Amino acid sequence: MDYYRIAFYLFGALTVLAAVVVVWSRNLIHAGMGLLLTLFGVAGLYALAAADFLAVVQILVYVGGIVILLLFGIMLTQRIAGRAPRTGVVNRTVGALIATGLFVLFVMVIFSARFAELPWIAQGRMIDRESAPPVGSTVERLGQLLVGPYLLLFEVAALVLTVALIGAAYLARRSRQEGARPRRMIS
Amino acid sequence: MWLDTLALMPVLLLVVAGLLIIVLDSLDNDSPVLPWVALLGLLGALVLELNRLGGGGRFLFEGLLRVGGFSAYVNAVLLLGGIATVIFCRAYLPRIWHAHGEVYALVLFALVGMMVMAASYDLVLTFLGLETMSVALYVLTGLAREDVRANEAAMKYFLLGAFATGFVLYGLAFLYGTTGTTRLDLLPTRIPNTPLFWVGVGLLLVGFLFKIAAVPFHMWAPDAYQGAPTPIAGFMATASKAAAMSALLLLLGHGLGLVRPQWADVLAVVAALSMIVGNGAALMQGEVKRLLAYSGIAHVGYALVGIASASASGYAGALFYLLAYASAALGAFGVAALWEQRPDRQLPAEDLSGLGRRHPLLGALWVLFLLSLVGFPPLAGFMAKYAVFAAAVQAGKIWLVLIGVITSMISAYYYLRLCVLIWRPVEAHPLPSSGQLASGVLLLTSALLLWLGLWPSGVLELVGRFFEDSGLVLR
Repeated sequence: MDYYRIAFYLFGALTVLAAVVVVWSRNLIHAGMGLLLTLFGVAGLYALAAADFLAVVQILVYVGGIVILLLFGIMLTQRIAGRAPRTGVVNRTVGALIATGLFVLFVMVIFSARFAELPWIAQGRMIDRESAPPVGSTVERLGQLLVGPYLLLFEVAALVLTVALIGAAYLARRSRQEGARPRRMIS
Repeated sequence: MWLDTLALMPVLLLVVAGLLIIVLDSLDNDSPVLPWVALLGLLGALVLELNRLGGGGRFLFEGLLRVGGFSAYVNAVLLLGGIATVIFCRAYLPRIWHAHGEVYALVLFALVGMMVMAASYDLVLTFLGLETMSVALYVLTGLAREDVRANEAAMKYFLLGAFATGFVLYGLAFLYGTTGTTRLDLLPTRIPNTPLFWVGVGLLLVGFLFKIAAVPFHMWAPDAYQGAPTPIAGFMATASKAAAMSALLLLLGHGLGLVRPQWADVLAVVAALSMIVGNGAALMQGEVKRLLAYSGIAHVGYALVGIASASASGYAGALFYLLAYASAALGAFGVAALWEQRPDRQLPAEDLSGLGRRHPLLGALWVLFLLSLVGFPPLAGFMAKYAVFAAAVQAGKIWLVLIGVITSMISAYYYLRLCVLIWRPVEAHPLPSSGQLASGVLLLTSALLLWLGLWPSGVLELVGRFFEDSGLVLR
C-alpha cells in the first residue's frame, strides 16, 4: 500500500468520524471541535487531490476563521455553552429509512460509475501520459481564471457575501423604534 | 469583455441602485427617498429589457450567460414583480413599523440573483444567482424581528432552504464528475451512460422544485408566506418562482433537451401532485395568505404541466403561465397587503367581508384577480391554462390535463368564496394603507390580465419564438 492511499484513508476516516461526532454529540463545544476536525480532514483531501491553494484556504477560512468564531460564539453566549440542544428527534423511523436509502443509493451509483471510463476523464488521462507537464502551484492559474473567464462568477459571489452581510447586520442590530410592541432588552 | 459588461446593464443598474440605497440609508436613516431610488433602477432595467425582448438571445462572457429573448422576457416578469413589491412595501411597511431602507436594497439584490438565474447557461452561475436570491429572501421573510411567527417562518425557510442548497450542490458535483462540464450548451453532447449522472440530475431537481415550492417539497411555503410581510410574500410567490422555474426550464429544455423522455414523466407526476395537494389544502385554509400560498403551489403544478409536455409549445405555455400567474397573484397579495390591519399581520378570510361595499373598485379588482387565478374565460388565467393543457394533450398526457381541469373546478370553490365574501353587508374598517402608486399597480396588473386574456396572440407568439421546434432554447 503506497503512502498516498494511506494518507487518503486517514484523512477520509478523520472527516467521517469527526462528522459523526458533530451530529451525535449533545454538547455544543464537542460538536464545534468535531466540525473543526471534519473541515481539517477535508483540507487534507483537497491537498491530496493536488488542490493545494484550496487546501490552504480551507484551513485559513474554515478551520482558522469560521469554526473559531463559532466556538467563541458558543462560549461567550453563556446561555447555550453547557446546555444540550433542546430540540428532540422527531420522525425517527421515516428519517432513518430515507437516510439509509439515500446512502445505499449513493454508494451503489458512485461505485458503479467507473470514472476511469468516462470520456472526459479518459481524455485527460491520455493527455497526461503523453506530455505530463509538472503540476506546479495552482495559485497563479486560479488567479488568472478568476479575473479572466470567471470574472462574472467572482463578482456574483461577492454580491452573495454583500447580501449576507447586510442581512446579518439587519437581523443582529439593536432595534430602533420598531415593531408594534416595545422589545425588551436581553440582558 | 467591456461590451459584454455593457450588455448586463439592467443587472448592473439594480446593483448600483441597491448599493446607493445602502449608502443613502446610512446617511439618512430610513429616508423616504429610498423606494424612489429602487423604483428608478427597476424602471430603467425594465425599459432596457423590454427593448431587447424581440431580438434573439446573445451569449456573453464566452457563453456563461445569455441576454435578450428568453431571459429578457423572464426578466421583464421579474422586474414587474419587483416594481409591484417595492410600491406595496412603501405603502405597507410603515404601518408595521418596519420601513427600513435595507428592505429595498435586499429586494433589488434578490432580483439581481433571479435575473442572473434566468440568463445563466452555466450551472455554477445559476447556483450563485439562486443563493443571492435565497439569502436576501431569508432575511426579508424574518423582517419583523420582534414577531415569533416571523422568526419561525424565517428559520424554517432558512434551514430547509440551506438543506435544498446542499442537494443542488451535491447534484452539481455528480453532474460535473460524470460530464466534466457545468455548461448547459455543452451538456447535450456529453450525457454519459451512468446512473450517477441521473442521480445528480435528480438531486438538482429536488433543489429547484424546493425553490418553486412544488409538491412534495412545498412544506415551507405556507408558513413562510404567513410570517413574511405580505408584499414580500407576494414577491416570493411570483418572482422567486418565476426565476427558479426558468432556470429549471433552461436545465431541462436546453441541457437535457435530447433526453426528454427520461425526465418528462417525473415532472408530470410532480405537476399532478402539486395541483392535487395545492388545491386540496387550499380548500381548508382560513387565512388568506396561507390560502394564496397553497394556491401558488397548485399554480406551480399547472405551469409544470407545460414543462412536462417537453415540447416547444409546452415551454412557451409555461412561460406565458408565469406572466399570467404573476400578474394575478401580485394583485391578490397587493389587495391583501392594503387591507390587512391586525397587529399580528394575519388576514383571516372573515376580515375581508365588507371590503367590496366600502371600496367597490378595490373589491372589483380583487374579484378580477381571483377569477384569473380560477382560469375564468376572458382573463389571462384561462388562456394560460389553455396553452399548457393544449401542449399536454399534444404530448399525449391526457391524464394530466384531466387532473388539471378537475382541480381547477375544485379551486373555483375557494376562490369564489373569497369573491362573494367581500360583498357581505358588513360595516368594514377604512382602508388602513393606500396610495396612488399602489392603486396604479393594481390597475396595471388587472389591465395586463384583461389584455393577456383578450389578445393573447402577441405574447404567445413572442414566447413561442424563443424555442425551436426541437424544444431546445436556441433563438
